[in-house]
Amino acid sequence: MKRSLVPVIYDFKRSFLRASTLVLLVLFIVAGIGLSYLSYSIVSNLAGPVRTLGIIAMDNGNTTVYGVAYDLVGRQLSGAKILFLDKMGRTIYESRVDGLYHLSFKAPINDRIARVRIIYNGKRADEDVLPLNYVNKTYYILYYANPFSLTESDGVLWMPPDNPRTYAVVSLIMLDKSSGEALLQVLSFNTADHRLKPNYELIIGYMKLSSNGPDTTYINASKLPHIVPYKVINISDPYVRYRVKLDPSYNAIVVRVNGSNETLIIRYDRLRPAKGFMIESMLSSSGLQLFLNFFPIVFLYLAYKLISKPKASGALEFILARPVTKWDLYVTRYVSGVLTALVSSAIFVVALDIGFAALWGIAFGAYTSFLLFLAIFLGLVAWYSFCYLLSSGLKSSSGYLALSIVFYLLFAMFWGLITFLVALQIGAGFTGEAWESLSYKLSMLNPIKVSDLIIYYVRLHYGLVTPIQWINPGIVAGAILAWIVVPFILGYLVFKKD
Amino acid sequence: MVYVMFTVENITRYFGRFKALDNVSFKVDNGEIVGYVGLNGAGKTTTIRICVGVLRPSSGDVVVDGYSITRQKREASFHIGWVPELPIFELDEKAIDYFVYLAGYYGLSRSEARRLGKELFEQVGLSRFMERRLKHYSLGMKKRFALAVSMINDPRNFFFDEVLNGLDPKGIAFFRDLVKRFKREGRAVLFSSHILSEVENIADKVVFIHKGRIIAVKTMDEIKSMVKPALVVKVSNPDDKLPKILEKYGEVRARDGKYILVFKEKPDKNQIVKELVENGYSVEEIRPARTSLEKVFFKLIGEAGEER
Ligand SMILES: Nc1ncnc2c1ncn2[C@@H]1O[C@H](COP(=O)(O)OP(=O)(O)O)[C@@H](O)[C@H]1O
Ligand SMILES: [Mg+2]
Repeated sequence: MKRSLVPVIYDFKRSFLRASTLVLLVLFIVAGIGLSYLSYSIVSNLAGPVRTLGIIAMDNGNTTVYGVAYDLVGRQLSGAKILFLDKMGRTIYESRVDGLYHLSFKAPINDRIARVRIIYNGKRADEDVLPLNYVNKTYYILYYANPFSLTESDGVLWMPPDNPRTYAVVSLIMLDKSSGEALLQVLSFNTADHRLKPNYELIIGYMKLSSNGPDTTYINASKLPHIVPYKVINISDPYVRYRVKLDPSYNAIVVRVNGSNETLIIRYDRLRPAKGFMIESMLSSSGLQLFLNFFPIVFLYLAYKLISKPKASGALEFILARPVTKWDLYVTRYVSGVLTALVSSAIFVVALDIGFAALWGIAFGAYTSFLLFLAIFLGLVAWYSFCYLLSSGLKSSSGYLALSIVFYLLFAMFWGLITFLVALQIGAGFTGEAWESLSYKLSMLNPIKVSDLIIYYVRLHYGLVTPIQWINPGIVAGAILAWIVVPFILGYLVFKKD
Repeated sequence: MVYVMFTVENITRYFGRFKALDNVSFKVDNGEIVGYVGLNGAGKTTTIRICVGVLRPSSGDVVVDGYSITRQKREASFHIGWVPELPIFELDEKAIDYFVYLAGYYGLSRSEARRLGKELFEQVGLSRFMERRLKHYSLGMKKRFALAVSMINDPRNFFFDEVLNGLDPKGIAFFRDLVKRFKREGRAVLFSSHILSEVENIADKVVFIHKGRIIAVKTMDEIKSMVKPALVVKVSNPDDKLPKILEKYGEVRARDGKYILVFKEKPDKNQIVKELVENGYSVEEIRPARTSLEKVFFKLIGEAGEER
């Protein structure tokens, strides 16, 4: 028998292209990106979208600066503005810099640089600096303008005192914790003649430090605790950037100048991955949370519009006199809701991705985008299924609205409180692993939150959550599928009755 | 193979413990208009809802053009047109859009449906209101819209549930003519009403339903023959002898100066006038009494009541 797609398309158009759906979607996209931007600024102020490190040599006002401007993931940035301030906050010198920079200027004699500031796209990073050394009437000042950095650790090495001395500023940026990808930057500066190219070797290795202790340690000792060698790199350029792999079975990287005792130990177990840091900022941004918590209202309303209202008024009966069975009708209207969820989640994730890329210069990547889409889409479908069941089962449409709103408030608004009360009851604490595990457990009982279990995998991927033993793909798929399929079938059983 | 267009076979329907239909059976032939008459609450709408497949019978079946409505709903629905008692649609939609949507269930593409829609809206007299939202339709327009929708597949079987109820004279005339046309075209029509006289001039046969049971199935001729003929007589100078004279012709009832004569057989009007004039009466009025079909209806109900 000839079946036309017209009803499905029409119901979908009525669902998706209705003013309420579109307005809310646009609203949430705007709010989503706006709020991501807000959280971006918070993250930016913490982690800085722009960073710089370098070294200053000041000799009687003749100042030479050698540095690099880069972003959270170590890419060189063009068009940043760098300012050198004195201790009163007055600008001694400012300049536009692109990536690697080399500046010479005359500063007032006796007015020493006390603060370095870098500004990029209206965001700035500040660093108070102190002279590192005073050699031959020259002050050497090192700076790493990346305060409160959670993703990067820096230190300094000096080469063997074979006159003249070379300084090296070393920084380690954690990119991705699960793969151990990291960046090692080394900026070298010859104190006799900064135009001279450096020429030395760095021995890189791993070691395991005890759990407490500082993030970076400078040692000058012939004897070192046990080091596992990783590789030797030859430094022949003033600035080098190396991709390194951080072995998760150790927790610190050791950088030692070949042929000397100069050693820098940078621990990486406490560093957070730069990308994950951004992802986390996006996941916990109120933009995404707003969407996850409020967009379900659209589906509450769709179930009302597509089933509850026409059923109560009798309009479904007129449709049922067409060559369709109740099952056909039930499925058609369900599918149009699912399509609405599909299209709106896809649009939202793409918008979020574009917003993210515009903010951070990095896209989510296929894995994150897909999981995020899946979480939003399946979450909406699960909630829609639940509403569909209610709308099929309840005779009166106002009864449906009342009950579904109560459930909505319970699942979307009061769930945090419920989790809190349960935690209180069983003494799981309100932070940490037990709390996380409990939250995920309870989310399985909640159609609006059940897809948090998919977001768990995004967090896990970036090392943003400690692995929770009981969560596995089977359980996640099972819980979500159950929330989709069971209400759908129960709904049909009650819908079928007349 | 030629089918009896549709047959209602022993349908019983409970609402909870209430038995709304009790073993209802009848059939409607090709080119036949069947009146379905019963008081409000008798079970007409329930029967029709079962016939068109929107309500399941507790037991029994309806076979339309050879397809069972309970087991072959999709196929059967292709052969059924239905104008509900109170047509209800999703009212926020524009009439033509909703028509296209519903036509989609018959497998029509958007453009096919639009073309057909124009044609059918024209036929039912709604062509000026195609773009109007259904919520702005009057009851009569809604019934016409339901008719247009039910004609999408040009079905051979139609169910009209109290279709004249609430219509203006134009609407009534429209639906009466339409039903007659359907008959000429050889379609089978079930036409329900709670007023027997409403179906008097269109139905070939009347199925009487009372309290969920079929109490009689009679042709229109049979029904008419059950109505006893009567004459209304009025003279300007009545006296005591007058009833005596009239009694020769039939049973006499006097009412506000008029006499109503009820006959066993068809009376000879001229003979009565002649005799009255010969006896010195001046006859002001003599005409057939308005026959009361509803009396027949109530009589049938009464008998059914006694049977129980
Ligand atoms: N959905 C229903 N639930 C309960 N009772 C119903 C329902 N529909 C109809 N009835 C009852 O069934 C009887 C027949 O109703 P109906 O078929 O609408 O009568 P009619 O159309 O002849 O006026 C009435 O007593 C009515 O109250
Ligand atoms: Mg009725």
